[in-house]
Amino acid sequence: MERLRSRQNLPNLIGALLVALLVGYVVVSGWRDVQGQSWSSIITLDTVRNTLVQGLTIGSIYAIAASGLVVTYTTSGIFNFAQGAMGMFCAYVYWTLKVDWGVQPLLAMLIAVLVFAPLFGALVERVLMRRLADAPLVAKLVVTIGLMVALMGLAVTIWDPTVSRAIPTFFGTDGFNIGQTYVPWFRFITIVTGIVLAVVIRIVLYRTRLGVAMRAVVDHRELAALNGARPGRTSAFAWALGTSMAALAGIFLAEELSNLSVETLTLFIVNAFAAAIIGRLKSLPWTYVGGILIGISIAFQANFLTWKAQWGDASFVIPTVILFVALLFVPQARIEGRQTTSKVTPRVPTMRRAWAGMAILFGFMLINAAYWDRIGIRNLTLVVLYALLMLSLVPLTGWSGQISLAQITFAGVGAFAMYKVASSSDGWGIIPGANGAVWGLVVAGVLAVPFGLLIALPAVRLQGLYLALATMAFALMAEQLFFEQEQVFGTGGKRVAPIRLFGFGLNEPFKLLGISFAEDAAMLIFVTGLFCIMGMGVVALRRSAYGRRLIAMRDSPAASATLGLNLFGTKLGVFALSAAIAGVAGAVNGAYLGSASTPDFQMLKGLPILLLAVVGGVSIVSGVVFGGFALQSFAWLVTLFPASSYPTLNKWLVYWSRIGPGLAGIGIGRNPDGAVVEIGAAVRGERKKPGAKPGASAPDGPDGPDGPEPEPSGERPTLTVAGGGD
Amino acid sequence: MRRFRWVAVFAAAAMMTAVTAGTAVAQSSGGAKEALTASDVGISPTEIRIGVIADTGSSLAPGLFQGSVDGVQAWAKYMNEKEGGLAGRKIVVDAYDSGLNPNLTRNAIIEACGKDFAIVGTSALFMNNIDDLVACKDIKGAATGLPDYPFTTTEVLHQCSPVSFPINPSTLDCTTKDQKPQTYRGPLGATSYYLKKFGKGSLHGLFAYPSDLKSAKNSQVPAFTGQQQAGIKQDATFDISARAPQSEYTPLVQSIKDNQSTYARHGGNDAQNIALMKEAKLQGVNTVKVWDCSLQCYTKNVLNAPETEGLYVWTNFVPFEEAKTNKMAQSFVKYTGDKADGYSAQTWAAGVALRDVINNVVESGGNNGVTRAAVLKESANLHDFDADGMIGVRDMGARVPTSCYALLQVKSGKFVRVFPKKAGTFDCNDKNVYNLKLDLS
Repeated sequence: MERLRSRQNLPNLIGALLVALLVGYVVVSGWRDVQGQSWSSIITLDTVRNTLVQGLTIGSIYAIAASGLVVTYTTSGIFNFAQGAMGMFCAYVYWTLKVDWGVQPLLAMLIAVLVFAPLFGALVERVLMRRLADAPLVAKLVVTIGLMVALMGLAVTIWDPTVSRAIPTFFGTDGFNIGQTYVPWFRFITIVTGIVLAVVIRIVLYRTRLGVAMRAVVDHRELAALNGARPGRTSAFAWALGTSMAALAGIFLAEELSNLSVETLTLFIVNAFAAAIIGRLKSLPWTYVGGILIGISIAFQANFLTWKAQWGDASFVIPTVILFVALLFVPQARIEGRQTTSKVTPRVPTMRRAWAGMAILFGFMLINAAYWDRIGIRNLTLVVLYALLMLSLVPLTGWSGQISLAQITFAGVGAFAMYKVASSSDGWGIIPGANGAVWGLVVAGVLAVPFGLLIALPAVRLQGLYLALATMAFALMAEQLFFEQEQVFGTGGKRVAPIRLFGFGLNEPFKLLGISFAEDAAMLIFVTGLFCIMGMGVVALRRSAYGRRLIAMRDSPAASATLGLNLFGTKLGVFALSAAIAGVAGAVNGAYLGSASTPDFQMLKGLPILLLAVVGGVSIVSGVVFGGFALQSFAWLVTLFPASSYPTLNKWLVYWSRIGPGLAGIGIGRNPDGAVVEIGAAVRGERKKPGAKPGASAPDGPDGPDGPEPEPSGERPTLTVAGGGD
Repeated sequence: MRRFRWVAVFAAAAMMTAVTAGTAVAQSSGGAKEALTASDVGISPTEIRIGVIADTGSSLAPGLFQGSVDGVQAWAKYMNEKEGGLAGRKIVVDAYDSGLNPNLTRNAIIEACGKDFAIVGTSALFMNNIDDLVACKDIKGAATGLPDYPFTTTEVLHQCSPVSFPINPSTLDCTTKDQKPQTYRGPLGATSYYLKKFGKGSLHGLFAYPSDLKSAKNSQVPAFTGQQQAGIKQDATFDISARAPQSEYTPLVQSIKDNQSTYARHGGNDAQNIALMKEAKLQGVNTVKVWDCSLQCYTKNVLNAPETEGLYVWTNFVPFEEAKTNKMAQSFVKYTGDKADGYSAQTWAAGVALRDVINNVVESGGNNGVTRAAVLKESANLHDFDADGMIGVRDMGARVPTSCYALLQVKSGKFVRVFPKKAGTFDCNDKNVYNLKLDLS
């Protein structure tokens, strides 16, 4: 174990060193150009006071939002990605009350924060979160991400986004001076509220019977109930409290915006994740400190740093860097995932059955390639491309239980490689004249591997939620600091040449056996073929010893390590594999679109990929095909029924496209194993009855050398190994 | 995802030049007696289909460019009702949602290529690949291209596309796009007016860049540099995100206070300008003589914020309050109703540009001479365009921005004309433009 621990400390230190070097370099190169002024003329009492007031205001908003996150996590074990969206929704309700209906400001605030928000939070807990108590972590994450997407869609449906809305501040512009620095009352209220809440909630959680019960429920629900706690009620109270805090943060933030924006209000709180991690998801005082630290850092850079063009976006990633560093330095003992295995165990298909499935998929796409016009073909191509990217999650998330929000980043690296290696413009010129060369895909896969390994370094010690957050931070940093560089995608993106195979451009029309295929049909056929080959590779891998090792590592890292499994190497391996698949998907995507740019590979764009992969079934290949269809269907349906011909239907489909992905994600709460697994189990009559032991539906054993293999399942012992994960 | 915040920036950054309403002779029924035929894709004996591609339905920024669609639809209705359609045919508008998505954008181009004669008012931020626009085939199968009269052009590829004639030509001189440095020429707005009114050397201050998107910042760099060369001294520059809450404007305001700045300009949208002015008011700033903003601040949002009192706003179209002074502006306001905004005004004007081009083609070749090839050829001759006086004159054919502006100021919750004094007019002095070399590649 000592060996394991020291082995895992090394990448940790390397990661810390890299981040420190990066931050140091960026800060030094960004120090404000003083044009001959002395430092003392820049760092004055005024600028310091301004920095503090600005930092404390923003920091307090982060602290309040993060405290809400901590409260719900501490008491329900669910990290609420939708915290910002819930705060946003409450801020809009507050606007409706105060501005639209003319309710007195304080009363409107009380209604929004103390009536609507708690009811909303309790409802979310009762309807969605309670059923997730025993769900796998990925299902918990996906449900909250789904809730976030659904609330954003619902908000723009209720409150017309083209109408401008502003919330007047408390006490208008009144305030007081500290020296030369003016502090308006509304900011003073924000700062004081942050401090008071941190103290009060701490007292509630640790000094009251209700608070103790809330924490007991998450530790062991049944045991807490046996001791007189009422798990349902305490959990609902926690969500009510957390949502009230989200509402407060949302309203305070809304006061600072000259126009309410669904996107800004929702995503602003993502920055608060770092504060929650600094508080190790349990300490409210440290969470408060974390929030203030982020706020002060942002204020510091705004007051004292000027970012050179190359690092123009560095200011955006300050909270992300803090999050990443915080995750690196959270003591190992605190990093303990609470994972639960699947309720229904997916069968591992025989190779024969897998080949048959792929043949059906290929045949289906071939027929469609001949039938559809170019638009239909392009939509179907996107279905397969999404499925290909989701395929990268199968070994990583589906089998080894590592949650990654950075797949879109690996895809971006792949697209970059395709542009550099196999596009005539501005390439590296490795092989002149290799425009559209299909081997560019191989390079893309290979180039993505180091990135996968880079993120795998923290993965060695991080588990579950912490790993998900680390990958999210990695994706955000890559988006702002890597992709935006002029040498990568730059300002307007780069052109990626269409793939050519044996001299034939896959975007060109062709005739085969007298059948005319439209432009891009060859690309659809090629992408489907590629998916089938890679999908078969994934199935074969699952049936191999390596596949079983991944499952074993997921089910019990501690037991696997005890039996001699090299966790370090296994994790690195699966991240490398996953990154390679995602890299290839990104490269094909670039060739399909004909371009690659930063917005194509933003972290947020990757969320629906994870969401729908899990909805379909992230542990099986057919699940990601389902996910690909589901994801593309939302946009496709809207274009299939244009407003000019179907005004009413189109209107409803637009609403559906906004809310549907979120609802699908929320639905995972009912079927954590994904739609395909559930459907398969239902068809086979293996649907688990309520109360049955997890894994009860698993087949008994292999039915021959090529037969279905039972997936190891059942309750995992809750062993904790320092340095070894859970 | 932050890209969609910057629409107004692009709209504002690319104001243009040029001329006359002379070509706007209503010729649409000039060849009414000849039997109308399907002369090209999107044209039937009775209809001419026009597409509008805009980011409207993205869940991240729903309704972002709805104004562009509203403008084109209103223009088509006006044309059908008042000018007898185009080339003797009724205009039918196909709206495509590009959804802030490169795939949807390309699909929209492909679909419009096969269905519409031309596209007007394009407002898609992810026009990363224009292959299908440039190589779009006509009715004879020749790759003539799809005539495009866009409103927003964020990418150099699109700005300099051979088949695109932006209503707001880019400040980049397309002939220098591959050089280092490139040449930029564009509007200085009301700079000359400010310097004349407040005195040369009296204006110095803050220039704030929208920093979310590099192309947005780059679009402001030439304008700000040009203003500084013209005589407004720079005290400080800041980059600030569209998502920044008001408190993040404190350092900007502190800089104004420290330098006793007399000038402030934020290249971001109306909400960002409001946030800056709110924070300045909060911090008691009273030295600024000119709060400067281009047409992205010509919004109701600005009027509803009391802190914007005194803000100067310059536009390149006839302010809606003065619509009575110009027939086309009057029609625009009538047909768009409460949907009238900066976006719809300019996409309407783009529609008028197409009308002028088609009328010229009809004049020489009759109603059945209207083909994509003929229209593209004629578009290159659209040098002095002002949408019948509704917008400042510009050279769309050569893609040169306008030098015209009308200066307004926010007074008691209204936009009040400041310069030129006469309603419905613009100042089109050649000194209103900068011309400089910069390397922004």
